[in-house]
Amino acid sequence: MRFFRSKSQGSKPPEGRIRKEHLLLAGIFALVLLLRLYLAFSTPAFTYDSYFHLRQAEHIREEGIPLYQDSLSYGGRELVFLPGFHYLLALLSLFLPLELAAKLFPNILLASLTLLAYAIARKVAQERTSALYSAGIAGFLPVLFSTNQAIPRSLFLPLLFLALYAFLNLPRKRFLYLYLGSFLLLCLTGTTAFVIIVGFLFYLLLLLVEKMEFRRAEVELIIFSIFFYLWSQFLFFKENLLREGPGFLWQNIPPQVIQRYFPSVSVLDALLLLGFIPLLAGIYIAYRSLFREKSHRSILLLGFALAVAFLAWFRLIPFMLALALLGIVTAVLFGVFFSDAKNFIRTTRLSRFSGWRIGAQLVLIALLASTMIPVALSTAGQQRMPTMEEIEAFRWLAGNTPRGARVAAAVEEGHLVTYYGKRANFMDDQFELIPNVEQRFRDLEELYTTNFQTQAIETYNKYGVQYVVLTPFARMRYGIPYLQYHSIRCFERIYKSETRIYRVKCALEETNGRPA
Amino acid sequence: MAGRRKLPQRRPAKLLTLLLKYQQWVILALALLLLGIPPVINYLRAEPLLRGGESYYHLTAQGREILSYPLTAVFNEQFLPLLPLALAAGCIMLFFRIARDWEKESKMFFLLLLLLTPAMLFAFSTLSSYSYLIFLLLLGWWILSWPRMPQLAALPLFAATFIDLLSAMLALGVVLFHAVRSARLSGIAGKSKDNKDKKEDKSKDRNQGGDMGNDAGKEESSKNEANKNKSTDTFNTPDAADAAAAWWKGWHWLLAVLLLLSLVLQGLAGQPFVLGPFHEEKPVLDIFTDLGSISGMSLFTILLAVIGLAISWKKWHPAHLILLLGVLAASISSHALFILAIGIAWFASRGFLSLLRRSWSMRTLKYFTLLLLSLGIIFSTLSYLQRLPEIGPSAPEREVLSWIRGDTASEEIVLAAPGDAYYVRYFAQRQPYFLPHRPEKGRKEVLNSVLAASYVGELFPLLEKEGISVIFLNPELQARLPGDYGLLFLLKNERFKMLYSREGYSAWKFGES
Repeated sequence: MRFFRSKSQGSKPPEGRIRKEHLLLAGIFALVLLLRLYLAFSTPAFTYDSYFHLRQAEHIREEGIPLYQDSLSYGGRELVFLPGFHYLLALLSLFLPLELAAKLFPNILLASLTLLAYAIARKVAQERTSALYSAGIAGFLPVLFSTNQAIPRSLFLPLLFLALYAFLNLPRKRFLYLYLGSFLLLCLTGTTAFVIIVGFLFYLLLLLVEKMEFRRAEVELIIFSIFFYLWSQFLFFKENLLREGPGFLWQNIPPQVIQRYFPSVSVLDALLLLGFIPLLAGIYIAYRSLFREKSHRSILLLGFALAVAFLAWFRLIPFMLALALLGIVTAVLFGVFFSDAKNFIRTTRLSRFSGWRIGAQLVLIALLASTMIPVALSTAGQQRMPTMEEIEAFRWLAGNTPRGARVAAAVEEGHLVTYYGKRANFMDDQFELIPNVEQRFRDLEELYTTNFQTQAIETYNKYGVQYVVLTPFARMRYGIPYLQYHSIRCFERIYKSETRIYRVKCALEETNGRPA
Repeated sequence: MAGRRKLPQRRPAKLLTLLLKYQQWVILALALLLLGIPPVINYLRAEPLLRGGESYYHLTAQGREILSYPLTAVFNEQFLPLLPLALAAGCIMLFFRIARDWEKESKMFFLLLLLLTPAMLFAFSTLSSYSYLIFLLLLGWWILSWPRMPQLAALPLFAATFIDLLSAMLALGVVLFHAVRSARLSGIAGKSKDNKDKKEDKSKDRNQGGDMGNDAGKEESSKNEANKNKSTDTFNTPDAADAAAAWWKGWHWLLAVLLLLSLVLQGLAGQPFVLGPFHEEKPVLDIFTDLGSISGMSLFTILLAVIGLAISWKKWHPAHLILLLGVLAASISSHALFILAIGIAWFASRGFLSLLRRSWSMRTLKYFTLLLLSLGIIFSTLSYLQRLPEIGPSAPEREVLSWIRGDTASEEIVLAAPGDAYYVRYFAQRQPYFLPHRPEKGRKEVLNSVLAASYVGELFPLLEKEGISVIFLNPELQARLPGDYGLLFLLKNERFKMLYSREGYSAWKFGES
């Protein structure tokens, strides 16, 4: 294992020949993918938010278009979202069962971040061995170890870094096309694609501050990207922008749950999720890029990292996305750091002791692995997913309730009602364009926590809800052992298991002073 | 474009040449089409033809406000919906008279972008003081350029000072700017006489003159152009410049001092810096049409302006001053966005031309970017035009307000959303409690307190103290208020009686206990 042999020291193999680094990279990719798939298949369920995307992919497979007029979500609503991820998932589901495709596809995409981190680090550090460290760190980033999550972010992240890699290789023609292709798909996958644009703007700003020249092709591509992004988003979200204004960025999330999307995380938590060592190395490289060695490539990465930090600080992007982006950037910067450190050691007497060098690397790998892999496994273990018993209860709804029935469940479980139960839900986590969503959220909480039957029945009547599901998750979520207002007269328990489903039998009527 | 190899003209290039040649008529036709769409839609829907709070402000201003829009008194009310169209056509014609020496492309892209700006569309589709102001300023500028009787310019410029302080400042600015420009031209003319023979051949080859901030070379070419049209535009010829300079020496100070005096008097008389707003302001959001503003600008135009500003920030240009004044005025009142829109449109046209003229490393990307830009601006404008007829008042709103007029006493005070205040004044002929253009002290707070009241104990004393006896609600307000508590819930109290309700608009009478 002669990791320290540089390009100049070793004989350069001809183009196209498989190198030792390529094999190691393939090994890292395979290891990450296998671990992810093992964790993903250890339970058949998905995270709560994934079911919305599964349902959309299912609809695209059957009808060819996304479900923009959803008759089940919130009892019927208009819904606008970017369908890039859903179309690709639907395409895969033509060859594989949807749920299998939804396990494989996101995990392959996220494992591919190892390859992208390697490619970017190699480009920035101009060195292969160090880039392997970047690949390893990106692969085991704890923040990305939600292995049962099938959401557009799993496509968004590789696309974003693919675009960044292509941008680093400008003005070569094929990379220009690669950039255009990946950026186009990126704009169809997530509205948060503006992260890359803000990153480019920070990059230009840093170049300006550092009095470095602007590259013409880059500026042109940045101008194109800005206008294309705006145009594509206006095409999809014109109505949302008009109705919600800049609040569109916060997706109409009720204040009661906004903390979940934009949490205030302690420094220690952030360090754990990003990995302590890569973060420190990233900070050092940022300092070096700004004040000592000024190269366009490292300034681009730094500009991107600053943009992510800026947007996260102002709560313009979800916190978990910001952590994921920063995690990958620091992984790449770690590669640069490692390359620097190696060059430094080469100038010292330590370089004479080859055994020491191997030992140091093994210690480093052990250190990285011990600080990252346990946290990654713990993240995977903490994913919020429904149990099989809960899923069975929601499946039961499909065959045992009338077609037009409306079912109340916890916000997170809203998509389970529509995906497995095929019934209209009271609410779910797609809050965009829903009027008075805050009030509805309060009403749902009241349904689970109130002690008064009349109050609960009034809310059931107000929203036309006929069924309520009480899962162990909902019990935990609302801190209740059972529905306080439950009575045999008004609520019939129709599903008897750990999860309970009740049918609402009563309605409030005006009785001219007589009891109802 | 100079120095480029001449290629056989392709079809788009031919089209562009044609557009440039007949730009005045093309832009005029486009303006009439765009501005004509909303009134036609309103007419077909049997909705009121005049839209926007400001139109109704002017219709009800006589006897209530310092007269700022005399045209409502001059014209019959039936013809008033046509007035904005006539003003737009007048402004375009005047602009082409004044900007004779501008570069053709600059002129066309500036006017096109300005025309597609919602702030402009809004101003020229309602009875707006600012469309009237622009007409007066352009008229004043044009008359100032006359070889004979330029003193007549005092008439429109004085009329402009009566709108608000900003308008008075702009009128003064027009005189000062015209004077400086004339003096500069006469100076250039003096110098150029020495080198006339040397430069004559060169100037013939040059393109037509430059823009408002034209350099000496561009002025040269404008002289040639102007010589040909001595009878109509003698402003830029050396002779005309001399005449202008002479005029300036004799009259400038008098006109400028008189306008300044008018400005001071307007200030002492209590004229506002900016007239308006006539709706509930949303400070930053009002700038962006795409975020639901009733006027504002497209995000694409603003971004283009940023590019234009970035490439021209080192070189001083009068448009910088307009932009600065626009920012200042818009920060005071979003109603003055129109001034900002002129500056933005100018820099956006610079940005667009720079993208068009720049040779890109990938040509396809350039054309695709320009296509995206054009589509973005057009989509934004079309989307705005689609929304324009929805700007109040609507037919049901008029009906409910007419009911108030018939069903309540003339001294009743009506509490309504700020944007509805002028419709209340016109259709219901009642005094609105809160007028956004002239907010009386504490009234905004009372309005907010009424809308946020949760208990009768909070609401009733407020209504009684302020003498509010009618509450008028529109659908937007009703959607914003909670249904289970607050004002909508309190309206179920026996002291409220619904007067009339139609399609989400409702009027409630607050009675004695």
